[in-house]
Amino acid sequence: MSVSPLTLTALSAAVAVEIAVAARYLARVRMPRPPVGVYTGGDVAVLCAGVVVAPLLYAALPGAAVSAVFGLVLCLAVQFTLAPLLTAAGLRATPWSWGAALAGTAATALAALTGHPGGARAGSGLLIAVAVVGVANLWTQSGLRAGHTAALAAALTGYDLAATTLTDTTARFFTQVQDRPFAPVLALTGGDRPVAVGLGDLLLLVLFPLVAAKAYGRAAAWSAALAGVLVTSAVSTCFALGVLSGGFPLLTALGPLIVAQHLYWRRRSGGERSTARWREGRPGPAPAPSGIELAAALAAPVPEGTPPGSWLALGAGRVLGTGPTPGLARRDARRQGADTTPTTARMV
Amino acid sequence: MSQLRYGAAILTNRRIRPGDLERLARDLVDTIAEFGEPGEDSALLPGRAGQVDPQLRREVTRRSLRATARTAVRHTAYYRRLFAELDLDPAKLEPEDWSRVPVTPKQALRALPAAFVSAAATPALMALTTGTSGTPTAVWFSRAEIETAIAFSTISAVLGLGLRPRHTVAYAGCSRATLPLVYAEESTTRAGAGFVQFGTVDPALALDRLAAPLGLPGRAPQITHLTTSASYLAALVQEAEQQKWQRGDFGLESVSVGGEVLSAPLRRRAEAVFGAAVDSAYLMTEILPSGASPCTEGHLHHTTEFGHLEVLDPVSGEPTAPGGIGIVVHTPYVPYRECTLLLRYATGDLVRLPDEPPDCELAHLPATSGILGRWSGPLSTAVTTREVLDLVEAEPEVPLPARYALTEGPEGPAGPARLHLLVPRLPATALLGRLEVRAAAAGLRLSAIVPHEDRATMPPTAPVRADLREHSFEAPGATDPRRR
Repeated sequence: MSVSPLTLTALSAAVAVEIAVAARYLARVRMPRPPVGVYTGGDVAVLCAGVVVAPLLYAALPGAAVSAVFGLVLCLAVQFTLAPLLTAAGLRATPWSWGAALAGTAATALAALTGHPGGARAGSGLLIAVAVVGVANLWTQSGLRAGHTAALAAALTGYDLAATTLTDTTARFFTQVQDRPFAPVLALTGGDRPVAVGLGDLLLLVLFPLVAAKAYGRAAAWSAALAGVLVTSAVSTCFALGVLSGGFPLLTALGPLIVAQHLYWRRRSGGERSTARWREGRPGPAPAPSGIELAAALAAPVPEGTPPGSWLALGAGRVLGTGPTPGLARRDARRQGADTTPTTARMV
Repeated sequence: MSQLRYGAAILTNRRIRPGDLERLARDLVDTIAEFGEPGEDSALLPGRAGQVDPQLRREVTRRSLRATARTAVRHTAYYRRLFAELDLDPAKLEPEDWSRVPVTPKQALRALPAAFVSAAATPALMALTTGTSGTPTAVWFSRAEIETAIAFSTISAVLGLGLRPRHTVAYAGCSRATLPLVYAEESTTRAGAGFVQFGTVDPALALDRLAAPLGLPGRAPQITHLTTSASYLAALVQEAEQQKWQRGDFGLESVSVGGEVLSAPLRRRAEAVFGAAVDSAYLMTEILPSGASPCTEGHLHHTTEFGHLEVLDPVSGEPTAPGGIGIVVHTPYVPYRECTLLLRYATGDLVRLPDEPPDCELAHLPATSGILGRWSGPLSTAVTTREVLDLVEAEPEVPLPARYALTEGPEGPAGPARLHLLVPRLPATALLGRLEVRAAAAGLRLSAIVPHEDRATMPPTAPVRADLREHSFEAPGATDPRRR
């Protein structure tokens, strides 16, 4: 059975819209964060461990229980995504965000229980789309660095390859959650061969443009978004042409691209900028101290007759003041009209 | 995990793992580096005096007092004997019963510091107070207490003082005061800032070092923060005013004063000459890490997190009424303290209670006036150190730090006092006239102001920390080749 090219195009469009919405959210909405804490390599390692272990744990649970777990997680994620959005809109965030999250979750569950798989799929997709926007923004705004994201992508690429092609872990998991509500896939169609993108793939497709925007700026964000949509479209094309027919580990293509982009931009910008610099709109990482003033001070010509032991206040490549101590030399420079703090050195 | 373990230790009054707090402080520094500011609810971090539900605070106080008393009785010779004599059971103490525990006088701690040291602790560092009253007080601290306090100090330096890696802090306190020096150096450098110890050298030297450019890449060009005592600050202000230093000569952003009363005029003069905000918090070796911070309305707000504050009448020992003057009596809590344990420790520091409950930004914390002085008898409350300093330090003619003494007036101890003041020269008719007018306007109970040109003719004046002058081989101008 062939897959409709239109549906595959719609999937690429859905990914593009999702990235655009997440980027808009990043630009407009400030999410809360705890008083202290930054992401570390350990956090990424824990995340990777969770991704590896979770499907194994789910396999031991009945399908309904897995749906319940994902329903709960999605409900929470939708709530914390909507809350700051509603706050920014001047609404009472807590009741409205909880109301919307619970209503969406309940409607999806109800559609599934009453035999409306299309409704359940649409509800799940909507919840997943909102949750991914929230999680990607939460991580980005909480200081997740592009390096961390690249490391995560690299680790998950290896895992995805092993779980999807070398073993049947992914296949068994998708069989378990297939056509159930809250399944961790953004699915446009149902059945045995759904047109869908997995939650992990979608998260990285959305996440990297956001962290690239934070770490390296607009150009990096655009190229990351474009790369993600192109990879999705390329894989879709392969499905449309019949080159691919079963599940494809998208991260095996996306992961290396993310790593390559990160390395390129890091080399080009000299490093990642901090969240503070990103929010202030300052480009690139904080510049390393240059020591130019010291070099200029060492090269400044000393006036004839300056007695040894004098302290010289040096600035702009010349002597601005002198004194018996560094403080008095600095004061002399101020009295001579120097409006910036000079460097002082002792005449030897 | 470290935050959870710290929270669990506090809730159960168990020993704090210093590593947990160190991790928290390190995370805070990393957070500031990444985000430029802490996240929401940073007031709930340890030592930040965040608002807590009053009911919960009462319960924490009850449990903390009981745990502290229980530990003190179990592990210290002084309190074991005291509670046995009074037949008090620390496990049954309620906050209402707390006044049954006798106040611990400073003399008791001075007489035998070891009697207050917990047998369960490992004393590591003996902190000696400067001993301006003639006898220093010795307080033993364990290694864990020091590390814990350094972590609190780091959090306070980053959030309270706003220390960042571009800053450099100068510490102009007595070099023998090991504990505050260690705290200042460790917290400053852990915040990523630079640190330099001046000691209490000749004020001219200190001013020169404050003005000297550092020339360090990535740092502000001059020293940005100064920590010192009020009397040494007074000496610096005097030297700066006389030698015509100007605010533009310095790069100071903040001056922190502790250990002595900082008068309002000295603060104003220091702010004028250094061009930096001058603040004074309340810290004391014996009650560390407890202390108090000023609010924008001028109250001193005492932390309830690390200890329990009482303000008692220095004579009757009864709680001071609103508007009245009393001494600060403090119980530093276990587990923040584990080595030298003190219950109801009479600090001797005088404060006035506000007439009305404050409505400032720190109203949730117990409020007093700033420290008024040290209790040394009825004269010390009749005319407080703060009142005298507010009077005399406003006069540029009076040499700083001001040297004065209060003696009984003609009406005896209950009547107005006589103020003896060192002046640069006699007669000081104009100065005296101004002082008398201002003293009368302020309602000071002074029968006379007696100027002295020679300190030797004065009644004994109280020593100040600036008297602990440290020698240096360098002297301002000595290296001036033009002077040779």
